[in-house]
Formats: sequence, structure tokens, C-alpha cells
Amino acid sequence: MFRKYLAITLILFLLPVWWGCEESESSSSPDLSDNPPEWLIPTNEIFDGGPGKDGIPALTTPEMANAGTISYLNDNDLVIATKLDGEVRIYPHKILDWHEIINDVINDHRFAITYCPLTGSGISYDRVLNGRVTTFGVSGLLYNTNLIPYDRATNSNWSQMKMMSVNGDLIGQTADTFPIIETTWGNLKSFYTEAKVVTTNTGHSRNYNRFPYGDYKTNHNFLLFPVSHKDDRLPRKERVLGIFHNGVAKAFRFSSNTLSLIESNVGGTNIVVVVSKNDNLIMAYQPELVNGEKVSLSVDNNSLPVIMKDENNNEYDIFGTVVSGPAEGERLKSVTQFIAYWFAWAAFYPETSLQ
Amino acid sequence: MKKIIIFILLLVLVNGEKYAQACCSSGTPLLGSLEMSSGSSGVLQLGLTYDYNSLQSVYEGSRFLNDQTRERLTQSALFEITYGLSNRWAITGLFSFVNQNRTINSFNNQTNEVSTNGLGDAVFLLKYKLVQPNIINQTELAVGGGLKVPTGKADIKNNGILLPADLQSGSGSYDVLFWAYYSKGFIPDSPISILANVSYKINSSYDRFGGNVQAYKFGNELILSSGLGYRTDTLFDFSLLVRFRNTAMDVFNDQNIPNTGGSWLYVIPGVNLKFTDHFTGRLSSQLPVYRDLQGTQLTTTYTISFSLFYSVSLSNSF
Repeated sequence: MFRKYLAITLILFLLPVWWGCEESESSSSPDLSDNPPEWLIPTNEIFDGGPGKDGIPALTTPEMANAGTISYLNDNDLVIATKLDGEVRIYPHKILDWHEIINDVINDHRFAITYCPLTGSGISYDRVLNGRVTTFGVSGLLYNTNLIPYDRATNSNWSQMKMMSVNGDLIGQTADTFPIIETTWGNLKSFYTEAKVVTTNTGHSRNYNRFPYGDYKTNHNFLLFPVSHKDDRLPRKERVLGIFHNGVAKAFRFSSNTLSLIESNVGGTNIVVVVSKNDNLIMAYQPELVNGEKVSLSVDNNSLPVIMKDENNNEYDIFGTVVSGPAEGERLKSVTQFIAYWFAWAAFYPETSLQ
Repeated sequence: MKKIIIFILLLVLVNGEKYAQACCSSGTPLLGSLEMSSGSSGVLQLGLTYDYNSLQSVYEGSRFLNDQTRERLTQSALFEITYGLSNRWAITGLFSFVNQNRTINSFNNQTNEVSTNGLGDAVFLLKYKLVQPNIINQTELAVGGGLKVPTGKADIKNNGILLPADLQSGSGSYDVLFWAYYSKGFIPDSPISILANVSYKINSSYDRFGGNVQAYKFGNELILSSGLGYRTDTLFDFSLLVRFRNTAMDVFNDQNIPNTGGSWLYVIPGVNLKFTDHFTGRLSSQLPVYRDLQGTQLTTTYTISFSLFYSVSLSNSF
């Protein structure tokens, strides 16, 4: 009898040993095994954030409601907004903090609002890649502590803030983007009452009233992952408007308490930056309508959502759209831009100038 | 009786096979796996434990969130050796092998899965009996202290990309741990005994991301267990423990990491199997009945452990 027990003991002892020898000290993952190993960014600076691929669930065409019916947002809550074909849609950080990507469509504009809560960066990616409509998901990987989305058409990984595919079939391809703004809910809700806003009925059980990363947004000493380049010119978590144009990077601070217009030049292109710290607004435009007409812009104070006017008495809203005047319906040419925490902008664009 | 033993063994083996290619998440249960007894002079005790830890429950604080999108599974094999150096002193070594799996039920019902295997960390513990049981007074009180050694890898990568800390087979740090054990039997021949155990692990930092600059530290861990043992004249003895576990938040660069740390309360029913005087087994399950976690975390739904123990008196042998 005892020998039988001993035999069972030995078998049970050897089982885990055998199990271990099969794949000792190794890992396996279908997550990346379909992708070629080549990356445009150093793999030793890419980190698995923990939740895994799609562990942070992206949303696709989520439930929306009119701004006037939304009650879960406070006036100071930050939101991302886009205006396409005259329709305004609002994507609150409170939702994006937990989902990071919202795939949406307005008419024939298919886009993905991508937002990384660890770098404070929101960018709207075109979901049509080489003529093929796709959606984006959260890969679970981070570079410079910034979101790496993946497209579900090719499984290619994209560096959000580089705005480029960095791994997979589309490696090296730059992302086409749609213009967005980032400001407070209080600024938008009263002016765009018909705007559609993502509701908390996302199909996922989350506490959207809680930021998932503690005091990360305001604690300048707190980073969850290393970054490749440190720049002490500003506090790490200060939000800046970064513009990357013709290979030149420039960051703009919330430098004025009241609505002001800054004329600048990035990569050989004239731009204007409208900024107001009090209103939590900062956006950049080219002083030229999409139809090619150049305009001379000036600030239009105390008229939100109108923020600018030109010499032809055209008035422009915060999306850069002419809302009244002879060019009504026209729009200013946009420039590639997004708001991000300073540490992240400086890590991605170490040669950046600062204004 | 044979049928019962075979059934229990098959149950364990079948479960193991079913999830053999799956794996685990939140580390080897080293502290909770330390055998409670403190050893006897000249006696060598060998223990082999298989631990199956299923993490499918998402909690925010103490509130359950209905999220079926992700699952972690940790399977551990733990080998423990205790030798009684004298009537009061004993030394224990605990070695582990860990298999971890992360499964995401994602877009379009696809499943993303990452698995890691590897040697886990080891524990070395020196124990001292303050109170020895005897025929008159069946009370035992022992204390101990030791070191957790990072024998497991903490830099396992997936296609060149460093995996998160809770998918590593080791913790990367040397940690100090304290241990205490109390038991009391009731004479003349009461089948009931009471048990209590305290373990505390103070963790040190390690260089998680390379570069010798930034330091990551897992939160210190406290485990308090207390319960009853019930002895029978059959093959089976029974036990019922209540366990409280608390881990502090992890720290990186002196900053607390959100969504780490918390408190758990478990009930642990167990069946002890007395094959012979020297050869015993134990089947137990750890069932969380309360959690209060920092932030939102995926946490243990249940664990099942099966252990075999063999003891031999070396002083008699030689």
C-alpha cells in the first residue's frame, strides 16, 4: 500500500517538473506572434501595461445623447470634441480614461478618437486605411508611457503620439487625422446643446466618476513607466498644445489668462494659436480657409463659442468654422496638433521649441 | 477508501490538464503556502503542493463589477523542505515553479492569451519553538524569520517586450519575512484543535525597467490565519480556517501605484488525508468572502490546493 502512495507522490512531483521543462522561463503569446518582429521604436522602451490586448476595451459607435440631457459631467471636466459636416460630437475624458479609443462615424467620415490618460493626448485617427475601413483597439502596449493602438484590419501597431504605424504590415505609414479640440464640458454644453455626447451606458461595468490612476494627472513626480527623454523646462504634467508640421515640433503653453491670439510659424507655415487659460482653450489654425483664401484673424472676446473674426467680418467658432459672415460654412485649414502632458510631448519630440 | 483517494487525485489531475496551456497572474502564493507546523528534531518533512488560483472577479473597492472580459490563472507547484535541527530549531526551504496565464475575451469574441512559465522565488525560513507541546500541555508556539530570494525571473519578455510585473514568475527582490505559529490541542483526547498563523513579508525594491535608476517595490504583505482542526479515526481529518490578507500598494519611484494592494478575507475549508503516519495529504480551497481593494482590480475568485507531505526521522535512519 505504501509503495502505491509513494508512486503517486513521485508522479505528482514529476508532473509539474515536466510541465515546467516544456517551456521553462519563457512566454508565449498569440498577441504579437502574427506580427513581424520589426519595430520602428526600440522594443526595450515598449512596455506591456498590464491589462493586455483589448484588456482596455475600445468602444465602437457607443450610445450617445444630446448634450442637454447629460448629467454625469461637471463643468470643469475635460472633453474632446469634433465637428464634421456641421455635426458636433463630444467624447468626455471620463469615458476615454477607461476605454482610450472610441470608433465612430459621422456620415462618411470614419474616425477613432484615441486618448491616452497617461500622456493626456487625444488624437482622432482616420479609420480608413488604404481604402479599407477598420476599427482601432487598445494593444495594451505603451511607448514613452503612451498608448499604442492597433488597427483590426492588419493588426498593425501604431504609436499614437508619433501618429505612425510602428509595427506590422503598415509599418512606416503615417496616420491621417481629423481635427478635434479639447476643452471643458462647461464651455461646450451651453453652446452646442444639440451636440451628441457619449453616455455612460457603454456596455461595460466601470465607475466613470473615478479617474483610474489616482493623482496621476496632477502629481508631477508620478510616471507609471519610463520615458526615453526628460525635459525639465516645464512641470511634467503641464498640458501643452503640440504642433508637428513639416518635421518641426513646437509646443505652446496656456500662456494667457484671457482669450489671446498668438501668431507663429511652424515648419515654414504660418499659424495662429488661440489660447485662454481661464476658458481652458488652446487651438491652432492656419490663417487660410480651406478654399485657399488667406485671412487676417483677430480675437473676438466675450463671444464664445465665437473666438475669432477676420477683416471680412467672418466670425469663427472654436472649431475654426465660419459661423457667420460672407464665408459662412467655410473652415480654416487645420494643422496637425494635439494637447498632451509636457513630459510626453518632449519625450516624443525632444527637439521641440516652446512658446 | 481507495476509490475516494483515486477520485480526489483524478479531480486534481483533470483540472490541471484542462488548463495546462493556460496560466496565471498575481505571483506565486509563497507566504500563504508556508506549512504551518514547525518541525521536530531530526525529522525531515517534504511537502509538495499544487495551487490553482483563478482570477475572474473584478472589484472596485469592495464593489463587484460585472466584467467578464478578462481572466488570469496562476498555477504553482511548491516544494517545501523542513528539517528539525533540534527540539526547538527547524529550517525550511520553499521552492516554486509558476505558470501564469492572461486571457482577454476581446473584440469579435476573439481570445488573446499570454502565458509565462518559470522557476519562481524561494523562501528560506528559520523557525524556533517557544513552547513545545507535550503530553500534558498540547500547546505549540513557534516563531521564525527568513528571506525570500528572487530565484525567479523578473524580466520575462514577449517578443522582446517586457511583460508586466504580475506576469513574471519572480518578483526580482530580496524580501524579509516573519512567521509565527500557534496550535493548541485539548486533552485528554479531544478531536478538536485550534490553529493560528501570522506571516509578514517586507519587500525591497528592484530595477524593474532596467537602467539602474527607477525602483519598483511590491507592497508588503500580511497574512493572518486562524481556525479549527478536527481529527477523526478515519483516513480524513478536517480543518476550517479564516484568513485575512493585506497587501500595501506597490510603489514605483516613491509613488504609490494605483489599482494595487488591498485586503481580502477568505474561508479555507480543508480535508487532510492520513495515508500513513508519515505520509499525508491535504485538499483545500481558498474562497474569498470579502475584498476591499485599492482602485479597480481583477482578483481571486477561488483557489484550490492539493498537497502531499512525507516525513521521515533521519536521526532514526542513520
